[in-house]
Amino acid sequence: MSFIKKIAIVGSPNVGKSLLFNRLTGIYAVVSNYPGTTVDVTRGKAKIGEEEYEVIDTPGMYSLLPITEEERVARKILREEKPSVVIHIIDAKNLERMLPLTFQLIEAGLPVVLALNIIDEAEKIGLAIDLPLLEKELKIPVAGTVSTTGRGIDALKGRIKEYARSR
Amino acid sequence: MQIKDIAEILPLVELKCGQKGKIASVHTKNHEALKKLMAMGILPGIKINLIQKFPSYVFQLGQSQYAVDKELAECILVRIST
Amino acid sequence: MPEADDTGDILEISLERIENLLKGDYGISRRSVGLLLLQEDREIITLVKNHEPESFNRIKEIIDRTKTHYREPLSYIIALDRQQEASRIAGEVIAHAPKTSLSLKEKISRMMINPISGIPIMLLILYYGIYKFVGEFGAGTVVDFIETDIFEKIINPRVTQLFASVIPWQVFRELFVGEYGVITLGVRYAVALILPIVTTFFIAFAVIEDTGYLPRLALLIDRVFKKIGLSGRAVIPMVLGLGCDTMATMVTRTLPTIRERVIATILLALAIPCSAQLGVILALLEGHSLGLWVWLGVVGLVFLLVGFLSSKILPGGSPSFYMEIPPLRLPKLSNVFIKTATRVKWYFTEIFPMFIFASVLIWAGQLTGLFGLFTNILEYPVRWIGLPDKAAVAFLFGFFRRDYGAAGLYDLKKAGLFSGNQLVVAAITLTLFLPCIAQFLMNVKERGWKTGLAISVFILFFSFSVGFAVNLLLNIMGISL
Ligand SMILES: Nc1nc2c(ncn2[C@@H]2O[C@H](COP(=O)(O)OP(=O)(O)OP(=O)(O)O)[C@@H](O)[C@H]2O)c(=O)[nH]1
Ligand SMILES: [Mg+2]
Repeated sequence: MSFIKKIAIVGSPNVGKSLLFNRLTGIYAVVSNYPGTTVDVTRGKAKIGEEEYEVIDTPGMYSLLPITEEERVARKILREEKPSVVIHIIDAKNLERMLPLTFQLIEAGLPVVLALNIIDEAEKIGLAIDLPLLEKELKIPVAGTVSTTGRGIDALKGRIKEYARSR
Repeated sequence: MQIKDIAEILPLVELKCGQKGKIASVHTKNHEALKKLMAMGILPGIKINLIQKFPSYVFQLGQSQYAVDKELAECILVRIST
Repeated sequence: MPEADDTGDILEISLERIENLLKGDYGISRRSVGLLLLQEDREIITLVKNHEPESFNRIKEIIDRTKTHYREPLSYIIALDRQQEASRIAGEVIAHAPKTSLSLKEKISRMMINPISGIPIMLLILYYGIYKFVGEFGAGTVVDFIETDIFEKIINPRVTQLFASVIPWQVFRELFVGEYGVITLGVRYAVALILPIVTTFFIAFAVIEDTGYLPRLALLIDRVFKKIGLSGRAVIPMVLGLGCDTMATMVTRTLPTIRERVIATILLALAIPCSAQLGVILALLEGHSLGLWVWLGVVGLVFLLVGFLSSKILPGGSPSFYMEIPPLRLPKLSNVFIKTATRVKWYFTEIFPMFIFASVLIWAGQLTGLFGLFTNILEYPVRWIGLPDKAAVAFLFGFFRRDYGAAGLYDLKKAGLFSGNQLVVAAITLTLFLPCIAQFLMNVKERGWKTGLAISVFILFFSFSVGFAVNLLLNIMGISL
């Protein structure tokens, strides 16, 4: 049995989970512009800081209360694999709509790091988000990312590293 | 609730394209699809803007767009903003 | 609502009481489990029932009692509560300077979803993306080049010569370079025919996927799909099926009900040709534009009819359609490239051994006479639908893979063995014909043995019956295509 720590990437459909997975692991999980691209889990390895992690890409889920089959798959990972870090990735443009899942993940006692992805499109429509304030409100690490270009990914890794160490 | 309020609440299917409002309530018939709508963030208090009615109902909530069929659109009640 | 505050408390109190009754390890906090129980999550209810046999009834009681305090389902109350908190936080952290005018992307999007402009756009995408790019360019130009200029002119003569010089036994030479040889048939089909077609299809599909067009197509077509027991959401597995039905069958998981998944699986197995098949069929019917329309019409009709009938036969209500429509985006070349490469690689590793294996099997079958026996048997249904005996071989290939079968027809056409009518009948029958082995296995995996097998048996008979009917109709009406 190996004791490699796990990172689960979860979030609503089509927010860039698979693209982030590709960035972290170098393994290609299919990325497409519609909800429901990923229907099964993909696993890969990533080195963050000194530590090697198993990274898990999951199908999109809207809430912890699953309705479709692939949402059940995602929840199962959270319940059964005891991830050391759960990256909840959301579309920054839709913060208001996607925060409820963050609450549910925190409530479930999971080690959540919030990635505000697609910051580029948010900026384009004139949205600015106060990350430090959001972090204070939620009491979890928050990072702004653009998975398509890699912007903010290092910062996200930094937050994961700190977080994993502090636990 | 006052009469005046009620007069302003319409099911989504009766809105005109381009009309805006806030979701007043979502019918809660015990229906899996409605649970899904709620999980997707279609909930009372959220601003809504109807974009299209045929062949499907397309509307915008915040920065997201959704499409639903007529049956589901009938379950979404909107308080029209004037 | 005046009682909002007290009811909020009731929920909180019930939750606390449930939490105190939970002893097992659920991988998530007891509070979470409690909330899921209150929202009547079936999976969690079963789990708790097994973990807490003593207190389960108490828990159930609490849930039922809590429900009576609310007019709405608890899931609604809980979701509303969370949303209010989310809106509060969002209000604090977001500064918005909205731009009012519609962006160009949004304007294009609106044109795509409006039926008046959307249907022409759909047809244009089909025509240029599938017919022109995959059919004419992939299955035409590229296949011709690899087939004629590379295989026929360079590879075939050389390997034939090579094998002639190293293998003295005719029998073993046949294995590699004979009529059904591993290289002259297996490798050639895979590399010269299937590879270019599949690659061009996956390129076109990746571009379409990455723009965000598919959800827009879904909402455009929802009303039609409702008639066949599906919702617009099923458009995605169906279009993906035009690439590879096996992959698409797995994607039916995104459909909300089992009923929809079964109908989609049947239609994928029966009436959606995969890219290799589609490409070969387009090449087969090249220059018979009327024949192409008949093929399209019959397959389309079968699709709608079988979908309609299954939706009548299978139990369950009509599906709902709801979908998030992502913004239109410009496809990234790197993603299109790597996605296509990944899929083509997957497809190729799937078919290549199969093609080689089939060649070996046919060779062994010829040695033992079994091949002749099977083709003789297949000649009956093949004659029955009005095709020349030689077509039996293509159908025998089709048992291994539909694309392999289609490739077999392609060779027969090149040999000038088909009349126009026969070409159309053969194309229709083979389109509808049995799913390939990989897809059959996927059907069994996703739908279970009974359904998987039933689908295949049904299709075997149904495909020939349709071929028979079309042939008969064409003859009766004296049409020659
Ligand atoms: N502009 C922009 N687009 C992004 C960003 N991240 C992801 N995308 C795009 O969003 C779409 C969805 O990306 P995926 O990685 O497939 O999303 P997913 O969350 O895995 O989706 P599902 O598997 O369907 O749940 C793709 O078209 C990406 O190119 C980003 O930071 N900026
Ligand atoms: Mg994904």
